[in-house]
Amino acid sequence: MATTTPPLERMLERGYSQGFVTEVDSDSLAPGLSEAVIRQISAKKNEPEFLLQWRLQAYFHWLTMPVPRWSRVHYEPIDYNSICYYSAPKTTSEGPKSLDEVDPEILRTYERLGVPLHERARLAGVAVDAVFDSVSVATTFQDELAAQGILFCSFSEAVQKHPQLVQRYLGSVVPYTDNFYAALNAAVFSDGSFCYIPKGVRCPMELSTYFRINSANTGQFERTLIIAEDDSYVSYLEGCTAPMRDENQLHAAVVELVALENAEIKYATVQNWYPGDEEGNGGIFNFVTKRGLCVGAHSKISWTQVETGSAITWKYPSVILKGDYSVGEFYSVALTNNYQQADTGTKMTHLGKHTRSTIISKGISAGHGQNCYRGLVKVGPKALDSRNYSQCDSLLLGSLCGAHTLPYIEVKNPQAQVEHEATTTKISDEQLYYCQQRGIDTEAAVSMLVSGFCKEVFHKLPMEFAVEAQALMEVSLEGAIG
Amino acid sequence: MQNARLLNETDGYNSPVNSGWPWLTAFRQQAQQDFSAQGLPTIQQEEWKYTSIKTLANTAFNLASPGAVNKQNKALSSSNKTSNTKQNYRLTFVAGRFQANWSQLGPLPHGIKLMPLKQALEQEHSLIQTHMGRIAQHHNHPFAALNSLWLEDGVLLYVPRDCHLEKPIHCLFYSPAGTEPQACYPRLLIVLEPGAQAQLIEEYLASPQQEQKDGAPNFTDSITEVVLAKGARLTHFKLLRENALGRHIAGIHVEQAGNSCFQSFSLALDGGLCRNDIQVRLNAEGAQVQLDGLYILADHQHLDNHLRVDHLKPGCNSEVFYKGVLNGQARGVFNGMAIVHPDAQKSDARQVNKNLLLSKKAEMDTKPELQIEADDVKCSHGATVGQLDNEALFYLSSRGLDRDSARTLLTSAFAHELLNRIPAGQLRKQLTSLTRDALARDAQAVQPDGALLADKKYKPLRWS
Repeated sequence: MATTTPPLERMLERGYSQGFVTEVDSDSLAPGLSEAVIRQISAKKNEPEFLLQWRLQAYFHWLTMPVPRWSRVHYEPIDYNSICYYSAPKTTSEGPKSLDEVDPEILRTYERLGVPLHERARLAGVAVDAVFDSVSVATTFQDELAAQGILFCSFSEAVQKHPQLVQRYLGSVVPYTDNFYAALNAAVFSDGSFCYIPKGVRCPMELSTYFRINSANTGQFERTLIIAEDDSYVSYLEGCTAPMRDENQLHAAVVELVALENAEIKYATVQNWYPGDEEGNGGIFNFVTKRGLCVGAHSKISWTQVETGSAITWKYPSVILKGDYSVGEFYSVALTNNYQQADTGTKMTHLGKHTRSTIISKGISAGHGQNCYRGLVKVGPKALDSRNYSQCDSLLLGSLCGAHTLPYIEVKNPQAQVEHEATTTKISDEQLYYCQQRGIDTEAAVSMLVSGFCKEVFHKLPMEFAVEAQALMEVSLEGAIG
Repeated sequence: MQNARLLNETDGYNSPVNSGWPWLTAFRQQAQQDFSAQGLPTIQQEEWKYTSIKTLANTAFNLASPGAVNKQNKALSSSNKTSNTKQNYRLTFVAGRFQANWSQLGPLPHGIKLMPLKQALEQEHSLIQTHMGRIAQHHNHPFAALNSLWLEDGVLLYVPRDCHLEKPIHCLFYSPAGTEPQACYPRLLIVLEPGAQAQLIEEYLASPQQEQKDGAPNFTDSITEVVLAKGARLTHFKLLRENALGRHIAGIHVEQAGNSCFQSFSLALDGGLCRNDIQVRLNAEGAQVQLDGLYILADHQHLDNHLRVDHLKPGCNSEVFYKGVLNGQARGVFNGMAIVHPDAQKSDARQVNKNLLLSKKAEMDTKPELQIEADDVKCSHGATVGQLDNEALFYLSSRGLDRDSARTLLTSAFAHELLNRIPAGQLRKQLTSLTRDALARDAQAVQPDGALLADKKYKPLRWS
């Protein structure tokens, strides 16, 4: 019997293979959030005064904000004082100077996750920044990149070495007043990745950050800032995993992208935080703010995301199209199985003339999963001749799941063209019958139809990630087929 | 409290709560409580995000009185003439009150009840008690509660089992020009027994604005409740032709049993601030609903269409098709929501909203929503906002049409897609001609030298 994918059973046995815990000594702050905690985090990281002040402003603003309730996700209120806001693997010196100094336990962790940190990474051709709980433990290929003037390092390192860049761009796309979780992140963010591509440089390799939550009771609050100067190009990948635990852990990240004239940023995420077990216990709350700003003319920002993990996903990677002729893209596959909930989508704000945006969103719901696309396409009065095309399709597997589509379209310019279309269906019996008739068994057929459904988005991923994403989909659909 | 203005209004002859009948008093008390609990909606509420009713909340309205209706009124006398022809069923309301001399209610086939609500409140207690307030629920519709609190007149239509009413029933609601702000609260209750069929037209008309030198706003809060039993079929038309001072908030609430069919066509041509809510509950297998709408907006008009279809049982169909042409500084809002509940397998839900934005300052906010809790469904929605196709314009120009004619031709073609869905006949002709006039009016409004087609406007529908 012909099968197009590895036998599903074998895949299923894998389950959530990233769910192990690494035993490392860690240096953690006691749970709780207060001004003192923020001062402590800032002191630990030896931050300049402006950053501390910014954190504190964010904290005091956060205290005044109500918890947002508008989304379609349901969860027990989070006790922000029971979370540990800083946890780092213990190191002998201030931080690892090279890979040799990194705790071998941690290196083994990344080895098990399949993240190339060692020299063999050269083969993969990907520069990696690995973030373990609250700090960045290793960044590869820094020297090669530096030769071209590219800065790729952890956020803490950037704060020390390039404070003027950080000060200029931090919060310029996502201010701390933006929303509840962005404010929280601004107050307590611990680390993340920083990337600066100078004028006219085309980044020669894929940059990537690998996030890992390890400690219990910690929240991960990383912050990524990518700046692409005029005529530059960068492609950036992000991956996430966490151990299997019974309690829910909070992940509230902020990603800011700035594209200047003629620059292009591609940002891809494969999000595979621990989704919780079959009864919906445990799992990560993934409340993330991601936004790109196309400042210059002819700039382009493209978001691609594959969301298979997390108990709750709540994120809207957005693009503000400020420069004339700028382009925004959003490609997303969101899968919810068991009791996972996803409320995700995008915002395309057209401000400049001749701006274009494309939204392709594919939602797959299985088990008791709830999947919601929420998008906003806004065309300002000055956005002459702007264009948007949105398509969001949902696939339902099983009778207990839900798929919802809430597209907001606000147009204030007569020369704009905005199109939106959406469909919701299940895999039809005819399609299955057709495959079976040609000797493909049901599971392989479903798997094939699902990957066909997602093909448009997977095509946008770099090759290694596309393969991983495909495999992830199969694992995540465990028990949903039939 | 801003609510107070709408709640405390009295013109001295009718207190809102007390009536001769205990059940009605209780009903109104409940409505008053429900309204007070909710208050007037604000733009902070998702349902009212794009429609601010501040101007409404800040105006002190009096309950409208028809006393000053001018017997010479052109619009109404023309309608009076037509009622002598073969058109049999017409109910005319002025300022929300029934006018017998401009209405014609018969002869009716046996068993059909068609009467003004005021009369029905006296004669048809049980029918009204069974249905009124059950379909349009006060506790989540503040304007339904407000309507129940103040309701006085309206229409009751009851069609018994398997009875087919061939001719349409025309309900005309006319708002005369006044010097102070007036409010009226028409209420319609339509009950169709199994296998019954009927057609009903709700037309809201106001005197031309030119006649209102220092005109004051008119507020109409209308609620229509429709109950369709098994296999019943109602075709409903709603025609909105108020003036720029009109504040119109309407709710059409429908409950459908198995294999029943509700067809609605809503045509909005003129008005100030308008909001239409249509809520349909498909309660049993095989129910079908088709909601069509066309809006031609210009100047500072604001129109908000909120549609919601609940698929509660398997095998129901819903189709929503709304199109709009926006000119001037008009603002259009569309929110279509299809909810497929967990049991409702084999549901088929479609929604399309297409808009033409013809001027720089017009704005369209559209949100077609799907909420699906069942897997074996076919659901789709689409929304577009755009302008006339330049290539099509060029094509027509290359064949000798001047630019304005080409634009008018394309715009009316856009509108005709919807008009052609109305069953052929007198009514379609009428609506088509009204739409054409509205499009011509808007096209000419941009060119100051164009003559307005004012005399054709503001006359009620007429057909034989």
